Amino acid sequence: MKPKRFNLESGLVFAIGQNILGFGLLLVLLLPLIYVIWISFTPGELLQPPTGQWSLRWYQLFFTSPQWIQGLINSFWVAGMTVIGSLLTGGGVALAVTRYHFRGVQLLSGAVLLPLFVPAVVLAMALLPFVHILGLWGTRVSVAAGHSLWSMPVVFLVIRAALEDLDPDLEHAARGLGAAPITIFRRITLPVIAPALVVGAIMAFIISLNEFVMALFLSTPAIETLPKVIWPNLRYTLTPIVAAASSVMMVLTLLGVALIIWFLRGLREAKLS
Amino acid sequence: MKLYKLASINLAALLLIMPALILLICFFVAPMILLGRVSLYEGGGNSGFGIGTGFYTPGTWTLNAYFTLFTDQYFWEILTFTVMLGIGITVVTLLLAYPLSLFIQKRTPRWKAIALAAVILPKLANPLVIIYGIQLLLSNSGPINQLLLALRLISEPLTLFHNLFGVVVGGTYLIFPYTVLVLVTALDRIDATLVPAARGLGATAWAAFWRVTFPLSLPGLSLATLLSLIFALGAFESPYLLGSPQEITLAVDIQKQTFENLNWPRGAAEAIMMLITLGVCIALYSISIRSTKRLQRVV
Amino acid sequence: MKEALRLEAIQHCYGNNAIAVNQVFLSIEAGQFFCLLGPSGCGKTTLLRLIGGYLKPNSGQIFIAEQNVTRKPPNQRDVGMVFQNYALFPHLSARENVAFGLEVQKVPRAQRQQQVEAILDRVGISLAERDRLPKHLSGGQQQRIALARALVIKPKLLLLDEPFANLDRQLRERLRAELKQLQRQTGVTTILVTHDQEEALALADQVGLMLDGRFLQIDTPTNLYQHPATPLVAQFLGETNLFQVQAVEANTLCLHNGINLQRNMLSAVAPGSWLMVRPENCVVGTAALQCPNCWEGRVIDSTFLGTDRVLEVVIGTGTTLRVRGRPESMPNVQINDTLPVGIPSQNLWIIPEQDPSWVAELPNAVLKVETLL
Repeated sequence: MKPKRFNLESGLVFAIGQNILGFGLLLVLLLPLIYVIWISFTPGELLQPPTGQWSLRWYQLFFTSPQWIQGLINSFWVAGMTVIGSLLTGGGVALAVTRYHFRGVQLLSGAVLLPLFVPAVVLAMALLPFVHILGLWGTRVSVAAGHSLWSMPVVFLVIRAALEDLDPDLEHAARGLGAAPITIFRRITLPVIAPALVVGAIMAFIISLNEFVMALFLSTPAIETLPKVIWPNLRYTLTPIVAAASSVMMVLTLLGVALIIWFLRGLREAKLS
Repeated sequence: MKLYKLASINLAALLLIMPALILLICFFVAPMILLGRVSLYEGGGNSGFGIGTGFYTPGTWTLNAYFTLFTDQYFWEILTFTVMLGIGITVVTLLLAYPLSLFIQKRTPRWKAIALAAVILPKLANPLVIIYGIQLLLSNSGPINQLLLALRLISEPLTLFHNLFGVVVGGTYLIFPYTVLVLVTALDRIDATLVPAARGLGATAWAAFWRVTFPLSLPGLSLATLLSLIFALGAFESPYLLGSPQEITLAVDIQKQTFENLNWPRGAAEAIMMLITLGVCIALYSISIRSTKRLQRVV
Repeated sequence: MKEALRLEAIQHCYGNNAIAVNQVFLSIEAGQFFCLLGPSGCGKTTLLRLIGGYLKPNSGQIFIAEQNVTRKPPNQRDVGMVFQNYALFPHLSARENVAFGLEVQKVPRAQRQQQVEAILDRVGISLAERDRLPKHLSGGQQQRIALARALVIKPKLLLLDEPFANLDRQLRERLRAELKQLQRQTGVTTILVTHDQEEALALADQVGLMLDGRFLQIDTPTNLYQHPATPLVAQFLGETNLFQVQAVEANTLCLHNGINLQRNMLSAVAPGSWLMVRPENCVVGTAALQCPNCWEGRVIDSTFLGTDRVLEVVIGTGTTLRVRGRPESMPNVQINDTLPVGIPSQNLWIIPEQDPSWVAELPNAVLKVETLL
């Protein structure tokens, strides 16, 4: 029958076309990142991809330049503080929400997610005079606090999911065997949700590492994070060192992502058993 | 006994949520309130970065900042542009994201995970890196122009950035991951047996999509639209780095007012305006939810 | 003998006023194996958790070893619990799981090790398996470890919540036998919750049949099966033939459809009472002719079950009698054949009580007594 054959053929063409479009689009998405990494290996001064030999000179320059290295160190400091802050805030709320029933549970869960809906610029603009008044202007803590507003919700969601997956009978069994609540938390709850804690920590780290707008508004030259150091170079001097710096950030991010995937697999295995 | 229990349970819970409450109240609610307050200050002169009270004159109350805004033609141009750009980026993102989400959602779990990872990766990376990459790709001597030249499609390189095109491309890139994620999640919720059922009843692939999948995806679609709009309105890196002075958005101007003109009240006032614009959009979103529910039944 | 557990007027409601356990009284002697039997949702698991201290009763008192533990949390009740899904700590090895309770009670290391190894020997976990994580062990082994963990702390009560539910039949029967042996050896008072009748009858010294948060009857398995207190209990365990007495005359009891039973050895029977005879206690063929109560029955169904053959026979004008016996002792009959069928007098049981009134109020009654018409 004619209509059926038409459908089948056009279906096949449609499918192939879809595949090409789909994978093509995904590739296009990743293209800027790939291109930047590629360029970072260029031996020359121009922003051209390396055509012959690859060179590490821009990486060398990056790692020997005090301003860039300081930026990297600052980024690590701020990210570290963000991780601690997010775990305390997001983790605390996750525990409270899953273990206790009190009025306003829903409200609190929503409130934690609220900062995500406010544009970064507005948040940064609000924090600037605030830290100025508090005398915190120019400290890494202020930047970390700003970053925590973004990463707390993420950590909250991850830890809450892990806690909800936790079999409540595990804690009941521990209780029946004579353990006090703190002991139960330390020896049973914490080890079992440990992978989720790690995943949350890594995500907070990555978010803070790459955050730019708040760093822009709240940094002073002494505490500039790496994105802030890249920033003027993007507008004025376009040398491949920017590509090298960007690639360093990419590698760190990818490392974090790889670790996350590894821990998520551990979580899934634990769930299936 | 019961009273003690009540108190002790709440005490533990209170301790747990204390850090988050401190963070939210101290570093979120308070600054936002302060933002409103700052917008009501008298602007300071350009008396230097961090020296004295150069940013605003403390202790003053005035609507000066808002007044200057509302009478400034420039501000209205920027606001209009921001909204238009926001809508434009959202539309482009949705047009690209929806088919891609359909595509991803149908893959086998393994490919689906890989595809989603590929989509999320740019979001985890630095927006600056992405913009930088786009800059390089779109530049006059970049690969795209080279390709077009080699194919003899053009005779001289196109200016692909420092204009609206570049801004839209950059903005789309940065918002794309969120949109795809929301859409794929929404599409996942649709019962997988509905389309085969429709096909079995005689519908063509297109009809099955238009009359079954699409209406059911509308809630997810409107959520994706809302999210995209929120982020698009706050677009900062794209217009700044990939646009010309014609393409200044509200976010960019906030930064300029704060750091170049050192006029904090004005920056604050513009930030408040942005929040109001956002509020309007969210209100429109709620209305749209009601009308999409009606649309679901009609289609 | 000491009383290991006493429950007085225990009541527990869930939030939306659904009563899960309704004014329950219970007393269990030390060293007994007690089974809580009932269909899903009857409240048996809730009762178990109340005894263990994981739930608080709305009213009532709980005494364990004659101490009032109503207000005490689980860790102060000296009760060992095996959960339905074992609740083994996934990040600790088998050995560490079992040692947990002793560690928490600060038992010195040498003593602890010795007790752990001893109990693991007893439940049958090999040395190689003791260092493995729960996810690397089979269901049967996990079950044994959960048991060991509960027993090693030498509890006054051992509670088990449908411990064999997730295991296949053969494993279930093997573990059942091991549990019974273990209980005899250690002498620990045990309460096991199950919906499996066979399990309850096989394991228990006493069975408590529960429905809708209340006990229907608490008795030995034999008594429960052979001398049920109410029609509902009779129906719940195994198969049964139930008759209701319509009228009482000098020598006969009149049932439905003109069936009359000889009154010889039956004492006080009032109209409305229920009578019961188990299918395996009915006889067919020549043996039936010797019974005072014998009828000519028409076969409407015949099923071969390996060890038994089951016949459905119609007597009188429509009463169906279910008869069960060894295949070799049953005549080879086809559907619509007739054969004599009889009930020996000693196998008729007069059910002493009617169903309690609350049974009638059960929503689309979980168990309904089928009247044989």
